Amino acid sequence: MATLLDLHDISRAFPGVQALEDVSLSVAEATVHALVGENGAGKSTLIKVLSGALEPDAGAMTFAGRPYRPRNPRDAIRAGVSTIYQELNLLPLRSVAANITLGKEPSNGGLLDRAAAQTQARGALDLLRAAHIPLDAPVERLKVGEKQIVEIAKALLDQSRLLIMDEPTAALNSAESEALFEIIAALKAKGVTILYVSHRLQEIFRLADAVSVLRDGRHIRTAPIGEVTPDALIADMIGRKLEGVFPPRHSDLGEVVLSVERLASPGAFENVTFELRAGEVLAITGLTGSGRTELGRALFGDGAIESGQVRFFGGTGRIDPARALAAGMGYLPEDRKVEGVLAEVAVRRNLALAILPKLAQRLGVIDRTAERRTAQQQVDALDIKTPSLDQLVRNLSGGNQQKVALGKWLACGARLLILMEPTQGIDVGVKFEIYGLIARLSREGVAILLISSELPEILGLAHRVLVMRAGRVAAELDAERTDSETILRHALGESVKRDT
Amino acid sequence: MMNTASRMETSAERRWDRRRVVDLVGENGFIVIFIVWCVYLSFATDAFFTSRNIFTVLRQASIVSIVAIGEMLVMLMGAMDISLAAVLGFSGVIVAGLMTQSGVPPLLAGAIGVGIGGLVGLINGFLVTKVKINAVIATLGMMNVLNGIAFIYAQGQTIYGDQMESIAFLARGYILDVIPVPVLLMFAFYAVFYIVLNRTLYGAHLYAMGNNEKASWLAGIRVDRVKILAFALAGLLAGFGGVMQASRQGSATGGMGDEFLFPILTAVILGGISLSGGKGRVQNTLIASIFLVTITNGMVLLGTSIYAQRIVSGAILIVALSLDRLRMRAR
Repeated sequence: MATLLDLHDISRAFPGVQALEDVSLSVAEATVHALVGENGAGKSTLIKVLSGALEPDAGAMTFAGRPYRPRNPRDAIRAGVSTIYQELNLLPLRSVAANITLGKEPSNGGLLDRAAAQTQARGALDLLRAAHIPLDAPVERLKVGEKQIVEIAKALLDQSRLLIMDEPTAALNSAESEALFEIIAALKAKGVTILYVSHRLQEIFRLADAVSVLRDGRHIRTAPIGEVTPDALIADMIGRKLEGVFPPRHSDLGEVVLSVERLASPGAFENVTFELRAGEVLAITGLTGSGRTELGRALFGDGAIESGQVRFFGGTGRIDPARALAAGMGYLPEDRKVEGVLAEVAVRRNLALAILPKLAQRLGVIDRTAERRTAQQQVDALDIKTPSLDQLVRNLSGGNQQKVALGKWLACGARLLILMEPTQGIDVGVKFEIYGLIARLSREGVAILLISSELPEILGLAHRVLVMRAGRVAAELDAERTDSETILRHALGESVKRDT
Repeated sequence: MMNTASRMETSAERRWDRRRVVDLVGENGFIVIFIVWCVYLSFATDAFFTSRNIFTVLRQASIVSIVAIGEMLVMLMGAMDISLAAVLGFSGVIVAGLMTQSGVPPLLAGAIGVGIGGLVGLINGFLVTKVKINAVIATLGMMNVLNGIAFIYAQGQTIYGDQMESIAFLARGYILDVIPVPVLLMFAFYAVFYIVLNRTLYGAHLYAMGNNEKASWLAGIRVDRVKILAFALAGLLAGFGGVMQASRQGSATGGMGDEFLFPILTAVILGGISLSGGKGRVQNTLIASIFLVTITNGMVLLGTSIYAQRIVSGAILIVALSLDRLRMRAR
């Protein structure tokens, strides 16, 4: 089989993270090539590099025997590479037909040929056995699975030689998935190559001819599917055992500070029930799209709750950030730069942000001496590396920004912290400082909800682990008696051996 | 099983229906207010519902409505162009100056006026896409630059002369002694842009970008080109508006564009172009432009003070924006 796509030493860095490091791999023509890896392994970055949405820092690619260096998605599509993204890239107010033909609208001398657009869109939907989707309906009216089908239909219309699919079945029901699998087989028979990115190992073993594993931005191995087992793949994805030492766990848990009962949010999660005690670290994990992120946000009042009950510190009612803060809750959002810190504002003000009302009791004038004192305390306590209290947070490293985001809540004495991916994009050194801090806080009786996709930190820090899958709690595990493999199996929905 | 599925579907459908009603009211509510207002004026005054007055209203609406098309193109992408009124004034002064002071033939002078508008639009588009300045800021800066140049060029004076009569037909002429030329031009422009927005590739891409710029980029659309062209078209139309205004006044001053700033934006927003882009109909911008004129026209006929007119037009803009938010919240 001829090689269609060849990557040679592709690297791409983001501030603080090497997302891809010297990745070299080949994809044979007319095959289904699976790409697997944990969250943050570099799969999305690789897809973006291939589809022209990102340019690599270094390395070279060849596609169909020619040098391939797309500078934007247009170049990639013209070269014959189409991508079905996981996050849906649709136009909510435009019709299904307009979405499917987006960027390749049939036209005569600039005038749209609507009949042709309808025919093409209809053809693509028929192929996907989704003739029930109305062509004229605005996409915002479709269900999630139908939107995913529209996204797939969009890419089918390109008639590309390489079709990249990023978690295409994540939002599909089983009938829809089956239709997609048949399409994939048909496309392969026609000579189309498919790069199939998925967490679902069952699908990979069913569809793929070969599989490549990425971990921490590196290519671990590529093998024909016949030469690997699911266990071997999982082992490759998780990789070596933990580096560094986690602080010991304490077992001195206090009373229940947060209790969540049958909580549901449309399209995100449902029937979530758990309790969190003072001094406890409760980890919530799951794959992207499992609802873990939405749950974390909703608990701080950033996201819709449809039904169910949340009690924190004994109080109930609607949660919004101001109430949560007043009750002693702190929240470290996932997107640190946008939601966690005020990047263009001084370290001092960031650290004092949550207690500003207390600092401004005289006619609303901020007591700058007290502000500096509070900030200095946190800088010392957290060992925040900053040249001065007046430095803008933007100029700090990712790890130190994270400490500032955390310090804001410690300054106001939060007793319950919701930490969303607290070490994402942070250097290893600072990572372990943050682990030490989490352990210390929990010893001091702070309740911690650790929402994370990093299995090592979950196993190293948490007392208990809730594994979410498709919006539900799939398992509750004792963190000291479980391992990465069990967690991953629950997250993936693989059948679990009953050996716990 | 089947039962629950179909029941769920009907409840979902009902929700969409309610959304559709909210959409309809939000988008077209101002038309109802407009009609009520017209009916009221027809009964309350003798002069309103006469062909003479109706043509007056349409004539007064013509320049604003033509420039509003350009603003609409830009706002459909989710951007905004503050400089169009200044482009209008700038173009008007240049055209008047070229004709009366430099002896440039009227057709050439008009073409230069329109062309300068297009050039300014190109620069705006370039600043927004390549230099990546926020559209409001870039065009706000451009507005001040243009106003300054216009005043310097006119030396603070009113430019006029007999030569101006050679372009008078644009704003003051009649076809067959009945239909005003500017009204004809207005309908012609709207017909053209109706087709552009609803039937052409360019229109489809404009709406696509307003809906989701990233998705459009990922689909291989050259988003920068679409944007630059929208700003350029807006500039061209504003330039043409300037020629028309010079024709209407028979003269030009440095500040002749100022009175247009507010009406242009009001017409587009009142016409239901969402401030976040991606949605709206060009014909509604036309109706909104006419509505704005009937407010003033009607209040004059009713004998209300000029200040009360400002209150009413400001209040109407706020109501229109509230409808826009209502529509968004229903999502």
